[in-house]
Formats: sequence, structure tokens, C-alpha cells
Amino acid sequence: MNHYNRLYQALAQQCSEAAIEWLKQALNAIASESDPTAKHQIASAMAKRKVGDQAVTLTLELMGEEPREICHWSSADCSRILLNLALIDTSDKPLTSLLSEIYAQGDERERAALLMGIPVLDPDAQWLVEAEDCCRTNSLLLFSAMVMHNPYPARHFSSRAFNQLVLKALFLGLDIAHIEDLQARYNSELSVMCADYIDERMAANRDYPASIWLAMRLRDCRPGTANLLADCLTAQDVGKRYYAALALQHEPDEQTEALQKIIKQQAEQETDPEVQAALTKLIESKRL
Amino acid sequence: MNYFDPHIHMVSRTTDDYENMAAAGIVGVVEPAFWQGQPRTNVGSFIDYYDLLLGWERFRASQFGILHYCTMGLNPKEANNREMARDVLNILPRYLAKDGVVAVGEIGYDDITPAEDEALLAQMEMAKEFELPVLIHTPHRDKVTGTKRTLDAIKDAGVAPEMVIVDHLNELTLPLVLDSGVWRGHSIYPNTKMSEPRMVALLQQYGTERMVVNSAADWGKSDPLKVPKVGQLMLDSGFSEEQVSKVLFENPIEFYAQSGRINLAEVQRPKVDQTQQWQENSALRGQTPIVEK
Repeated sequence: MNHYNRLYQALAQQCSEAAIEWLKQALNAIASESDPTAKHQIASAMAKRKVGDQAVTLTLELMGEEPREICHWSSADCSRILLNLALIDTSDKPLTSLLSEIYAQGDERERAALLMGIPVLDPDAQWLVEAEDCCRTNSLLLFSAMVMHNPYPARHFSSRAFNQLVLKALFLGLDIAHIEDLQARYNSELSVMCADYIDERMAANRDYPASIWLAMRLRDCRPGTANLLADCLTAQDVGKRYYAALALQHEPDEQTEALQKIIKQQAEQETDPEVQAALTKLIESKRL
Repeated sequence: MNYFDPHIHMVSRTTDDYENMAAAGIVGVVEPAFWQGQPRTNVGSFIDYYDLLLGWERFRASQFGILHYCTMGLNPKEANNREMARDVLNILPRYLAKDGVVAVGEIGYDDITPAEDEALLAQMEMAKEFELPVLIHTPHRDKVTGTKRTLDAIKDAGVAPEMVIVDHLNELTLPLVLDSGVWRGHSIYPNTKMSEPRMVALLQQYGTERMVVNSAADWGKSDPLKVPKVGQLMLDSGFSEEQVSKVLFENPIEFYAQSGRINLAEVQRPKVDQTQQWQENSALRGQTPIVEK
């Protein structure tokens, strides 16, 4: 079943009859009328009021990957992605100009829906330059839509754009654990950028984001960084402890005896179950 | 005390204003589209202005914990540039369809010309089509005539009176609209329009039903804290907190709630740091994150 049918089916099963009736008419109008763009503009804008904004769950294969369950798109988001697909299907215009037009004329939520749905709308990354440009937004909503739980950036972005995206996510206070395939796209430049960011924060007497360690490898950092990471293992902030333990799972060669001692000691007194689990995994991986 | 300013032009205000408004208890605002102090020369300027109201200004307000809604319309002054007005009316529907657009407005009369008549009527038709309330501005000059003409135009267009607020009313024009069933808007200004004591006197004389108060603050000499200031004077004059809340919070929201795009619960809900919600994918269902301070 293609994306269009899956989206439609999920909405049909999870929304009211009146909502689906409206959606069906809007989709038909886009498919059959002489000016599909005008129909699409109004329908996309009205979608939240007409279809609602409640949770929807659906299973999709994004960009040829294994099917995945998606539960962070609302009924309004799904409807808008579906309306976009309908316009792409009908219109004679090139995909890139269509997507740019939809983006330019959408409000923040309509734009967010386009970015969340970009793996569906543009699987071959024809709109890549514009998609990278969208990350320059001031809006946390738009940035998150492109960056969090979205496989598109890791699959298509240049290293430079991907690294900027990771750093900006940290800057905005987002948890970079939700950036897909971060580990697969790791590069040494990312460590340097993140280490500089930690330095900058500490120089200003400010804390740095706990999840930053996920984007760093000790081998690419200055000496001394390992001590900072070790300190995080015993930090008061549970986030710091959790991400330090998680990050060390990617650092099998960096675990000195001193570090292993700290890990074991912390595992004995750790009170948070998630940190405890991460530490246990770390200890077990080392035994293997 | 929570306040709501149902008519204020935030694009012309500073971040200090936002900070002071939040500190004074203002939790939400409606920014009506209006003119820019000098006439625009082409429809592109309107497109950018409307996009600004929906985009950057809403974002700016959110940085201070203030919910920002807007109304979309072609103001009467610029309706007199007929060629440009036609272009603006052509793009208006796509903005009336947007979320966060809680009314058509501000529209109405300025010089009371035939061009203003046409733009007013055309936009009331759009309000019916998009099931939106209407915010109507009454003119600064020849106000009594303008108010009477406004009421006639509403009747001619067949817009339900409860879907209309007639704004910038004063001692002379409020009595004219009382029996019509429309909502009654009052703008409190430092020198012109209404003052706090005069507003409180109107509330004492006419009661609180369908009464709405705003600052209409813009780039002229005006005060974005006029709504809380009226609230304080109401309390000092013997009104109860419930009455203050009705006029300065519930009434305007109830009026705009007829758009289906704002409601009391949404405006009152506690603020959360939604970046944290990304920690738990499940908590994110149906939402996208916003940091609210």
C-alpha cells in the first residue's frame, strides 16, 4: 500500500465521519479542479479546524526503510501531508517548486507538517537545498519537525549541514538522542564543535546540555575531556549521568581502569533505573 | 488576575512591552490587521504583513509566554486604493483559512466612501463563508454617522449580530449599538478615545454583558497596559474579581471563540517546556514542541 493510502486509511480509522467527509471532498477537489493550488491552499489551512489535532498512529515505510510506527503526527499533520501528496500527484509543476510554494504559503504548523512529512513527500531529496535552509529557522517547532524523529537529514544532509543541525539542536535545548542515525553520521568535526561549545558554556559559568556526549568521541577530543565525561557519571543531574553512561557505550576503547572503577562504583549506588540499566549494559559489554 | 487584550498592534511594540504585559497578567492578545501609518503601495506588502502576524509576531509573543492570535482584513483607509484593494481581497481568503486567525478585521469605515462600503460588504461575505466573527472599527471622525452606517451594513450583509464586535465605542456611540445584539468594544487611550475612569463609568451604567475593553496600542502614543489598568480601577470602584474577569478576560475570548480557533481552556492551560516532551516520544503525540516561559 502506498503512503497516500496508508495516511488516508489511518485517518479514516481514527477520525470522525464528518472530518473524513471534509477530507475526501478536499482531496477530490485538488484532484479534479482546474486550479488545484488554490484548492490546496485553503484546504491545508483549514485542515486543523476541520479534521482536529488529535493523536494518530500509523505505520509507514520511510524512504525505503523497514516499516515504522509513527505516533507523533497529529490528525492535522497527517491530513496536511496527505493534501500535499494529492497536490504533488495532480500538479504539472516540478516537485521542488511545489514544495517551496507550499512552504512559503503555509503557517508555522503547515510548514511543520511539510517538514515532518518530507521523507514521504521528497524521498529522493530533490528539495535538499531548501530543506537544509529550513534549519535556519528561529522556530523551535519547525526545527524540531525537521530534526527530531525524522530520517531525512541523516540520509541526505551534507556533513556540514548535519553537524550544524546537531549543534543547533543542542543550542535550542533539544535532546539529540532523538536525532535519527546520529551515530552513523558521526564525524570528528562534530566532536571539535561540541567540545568548543562545552568550553564556551563553561567559560560563561553556564551548564552545557547533557546529551552533547552522544555527538562526541574522546579520541577526537583534547586530553582532559575524558575527565569531564567521567565527572558526569557521578553528577547530581540525572540527565548528565544517563547520557555519560550512554555515550560510553560508543567508546569501548576509552575505558581505562580508573574509568571502569568509577562505572562499577556508580552502578552500585545508582538510584535511577534508566541510568542503572545503561551502566549495567556498559559493564556487561566490557566483560564480553 | 488573568487579562486578555482583544485588540493590540504588537508589531509596533517592543520586547519591554511584552515583558511588562506578561508581568501585569496579560496571557493572550489579538492583533488585528490594520494599516501601517502610511499607505502601502502594492499587494506584496500586505502578504508580508499578514505573514508577519502569523509567523514572527506570534513567535515573539510566545517568547514572553503570551498567546498571540490575529484577525485578517483590509482596513478602510487602504480600501480607497481600489486597484490595490481588489488584489488584497483576492489573497485574503487564504489567510482567513489559517489557524490562529480568529476574526475578519479590522474593517469598517474611515471616510465613509463607496469604496469603503464595497470592501466592508465583500469582507462580511467572506466572514460568513469562513464562519468567522467580524471586528468592525468605527471611524474617528463623524463617529455617530459611521456607527449607524456600520449597523445598517451588518444588517444588509446578513451577518448575525452576535458574530460582530463594534469597536472604539464611547459615551455617544455605545447607546446606539446596545439594542443591536453586537458585542461592544472600547479602546482605552492616553489622550484620545476612552480613558479608564470613563470606561468604568460606562460599565457602571450599562453593566458587563457583551462589554469588551482593549488598549488598541500601536505605534502612536498609546499604552499596552490599559487593560490591566482598567481592571485595577474596576476593583477600586467596587466591581468584584468575577466581574473584572468577565469583562477583561472571558468576554473577549468568548467572542473570538466563535471562530473555533480559540477557547477559554486553551488560554488558561498551564505553560510547559515542550522541549522536555521530546524525551518521551509518547508524550508528544499530536503535538510539536514549544518552549513556554
